[in-house]
Amino acid sequence: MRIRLRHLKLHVATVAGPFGAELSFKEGLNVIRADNSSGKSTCMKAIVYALGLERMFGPGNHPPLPPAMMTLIEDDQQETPVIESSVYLEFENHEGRIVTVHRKVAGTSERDWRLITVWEGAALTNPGQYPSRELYARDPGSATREDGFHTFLEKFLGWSMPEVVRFNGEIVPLYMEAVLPLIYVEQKFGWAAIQATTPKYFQIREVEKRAIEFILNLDAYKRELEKQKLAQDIAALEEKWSDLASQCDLMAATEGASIRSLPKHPTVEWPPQVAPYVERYSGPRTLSLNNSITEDQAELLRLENEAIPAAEQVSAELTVKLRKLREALDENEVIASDAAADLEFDGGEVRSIDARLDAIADDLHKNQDILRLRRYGASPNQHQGQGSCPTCHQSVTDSLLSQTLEQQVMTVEENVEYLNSQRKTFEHMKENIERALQGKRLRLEALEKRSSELRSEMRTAKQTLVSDGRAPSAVAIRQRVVLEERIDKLTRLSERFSAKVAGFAELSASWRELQAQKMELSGENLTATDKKKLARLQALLIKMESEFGFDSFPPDNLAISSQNYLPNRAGFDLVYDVSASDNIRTTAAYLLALLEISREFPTNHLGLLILDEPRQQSLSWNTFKQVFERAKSSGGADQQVIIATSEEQARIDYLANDPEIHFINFSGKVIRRITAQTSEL
Amino acid sequence: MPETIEHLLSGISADFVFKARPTSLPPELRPDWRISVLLLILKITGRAGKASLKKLHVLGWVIRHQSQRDAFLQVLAGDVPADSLMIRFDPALNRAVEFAVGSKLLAFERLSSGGLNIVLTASGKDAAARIVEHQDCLVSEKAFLHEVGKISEARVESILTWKD
Repeated sequence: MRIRLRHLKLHVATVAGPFGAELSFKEGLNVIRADNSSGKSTCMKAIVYALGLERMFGPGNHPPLPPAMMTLIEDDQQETPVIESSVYLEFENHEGRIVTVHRKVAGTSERDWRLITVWEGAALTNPGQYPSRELYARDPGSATREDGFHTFLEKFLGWSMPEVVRFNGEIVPLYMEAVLPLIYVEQKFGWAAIQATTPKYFQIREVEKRAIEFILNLDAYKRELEKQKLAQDIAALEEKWSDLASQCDLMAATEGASIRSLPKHPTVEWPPQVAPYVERYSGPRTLSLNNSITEDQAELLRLENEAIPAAEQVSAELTVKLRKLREALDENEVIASDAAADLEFDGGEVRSIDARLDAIADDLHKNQDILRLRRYGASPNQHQGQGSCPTCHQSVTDSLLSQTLEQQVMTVEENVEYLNSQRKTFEHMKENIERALQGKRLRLEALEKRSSELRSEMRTAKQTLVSDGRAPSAVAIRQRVVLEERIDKLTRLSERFSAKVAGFAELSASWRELQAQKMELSGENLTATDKKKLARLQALLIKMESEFGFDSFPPDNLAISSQNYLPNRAGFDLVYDVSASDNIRTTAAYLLALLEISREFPTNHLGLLILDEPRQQSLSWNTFKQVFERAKSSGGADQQVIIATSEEQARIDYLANDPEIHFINFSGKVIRRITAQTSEL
Repeated sequence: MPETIEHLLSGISADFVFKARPTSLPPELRPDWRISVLLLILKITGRAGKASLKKLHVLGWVIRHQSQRDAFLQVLAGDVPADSLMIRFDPALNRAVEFAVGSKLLAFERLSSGGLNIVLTASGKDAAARIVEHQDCLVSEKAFLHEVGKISEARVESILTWKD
């Protein structure tokens, strides 16, 4: 048990004197009988208000209580203005600790209606001096700040609210108001379906499911939350990996090289079978970086072992060399020019795809405009939209083309789908071409670089040919210098690359861990204990439905869905499938089952159930009696059920003779003028 | 043996199945879109919700694409000669007008000079207002028409005949 209501007091000060209502509650079944519109629902709502949980009724900025407490109260066929009103509630928790709360409802006094006074004692049933505190409900910080009422209430009730996700991805604690519909069924709308009055404006994802998970203390949700966190971690790691890969690519590209064999997505093993390596273009060849360096070093060594020749010694071979260089340059230029044309062509392809994509986007936008117009009911084309001519009523298609064409035309929705798939196709094509383009660009750059190198060599050769025969060959010198520089640059690149690539080892290890966690968490969220609880819930539900006279189909066909934990039949939610009175039976049975299951399993249920006017419209008298019978068992289990009803007094006051039922009857208004003799406790 | 079609097909044991699939349609050929645009043209650029059929064709043609809208505005501003515009008379627009008249959104008005005016009826005005009210529909089209403003029939004529 987490809460036991003990005493409720409403106080309304009016121009014509004080009005009020008092209700005492006991363990087990409490039945409050009063005529329609006499104020009993006001009392039920006031309980919620006193507990600071009125946001269950909506986000409004004033107390959601009827005019009788806010503005005008009826007294003997006359309406009297309300000066001030407030509510007091005395209640107890599972530790036996009793508190009394007081909250203002209406009135011009300075006191803020969001402020709740908490007395540490039974101030209503045992008036006296008790230490008190003032706490705020409704403040944004109310659930997290020290002086917030909700913080106090959660602790008092022993409720530790779990974290849930909002539609926008934000993590917030599950609001108590969202759980309340499983404990309090409101008169007007609460009987439409189980959890019908769950507030939606908190924007919590799957809020009804979360509420039941919490009340039943199912483990399933914890697993779900862990799965979601894990998914986020996985996505983050993939991004890091992709980031590092891009950095490596960039680093190589600046030296006219590219990385090969680098996995685009995280792998569980590092290094992979074929380790990533750098490749560069050396003229028309591609060489791995290491091979390139080795080759250069060998060449340098060979040159160093030769003496630098004098210019006149080399002039003969230089002339030949110059001719060869000329030929190599010409050849390279041809290849480069082809490569440039190829690149240009691909660029043209990309441009034409872009044009196509623009046209598709434009068409999509216009089609969506049509859908918007139709959705708003602003489309001027009502007749034709229904497929018929406004004048002669022949059938027409949704197009302005000649109506004699046999061809069937897509609906606008189909067209949108079609355009979307076209867009994806072209985007995909564009991606492919751009990737190829990248490679071609690098190749062209390498070719242009080569041309430029060849020209330099030619210049140096010419220089040597016209220089003083005894001077050392500039070509030979240049050769050596160029080689040294290149070896240096490439060696540095190799080092930097090794350093960067080492980062993947760590990422890969993290990835391994995450994948292992993913495997552990895979599979159903419901644990064995969860399933036992749900099975028992199902059994209780079926039993009660039989007792209550459920007759839309045999109650044995009822099941508890493992998707939303609600009653269903053959996978379908019941609400539309059953009669109105069966709907009410189901709601009562389900909530009573939740109450009873808390006696057998550890749950977060408060051991309290408030049913306001269960005998809606057509519910049979027999069912009504059975509900009482079932609810009586709460007494022996240290739980509490409060039923408010406007059933005829003559019909129902036999309950007063039942020792297990605390029966309170009001022959007139519940909220009435206070005189010396007003008390029917 | 020559590879005739019959020879090739004889090797395939399955039947050919032809499925008629619906064809995609440019959105400007949807009555919803075209009639909405017509209503907007009449409401925003027409004098008292009226315009000649010629005007509807001219504006209805250039309104369809951003490049055409921009070109038309440039002609209006005098930055560019009118002969750079290629305006076509689109039978689909006539059909849209007929449907709209059938739905009693528009009405024909014969002029003494022999010309034909298109006029917004009362329900046409309502329908146009509804379209204007929803600010996320036909945004660029509305913006263009507001830029064009209450353009006169004479101006439209001069643009069409390149005398602008």
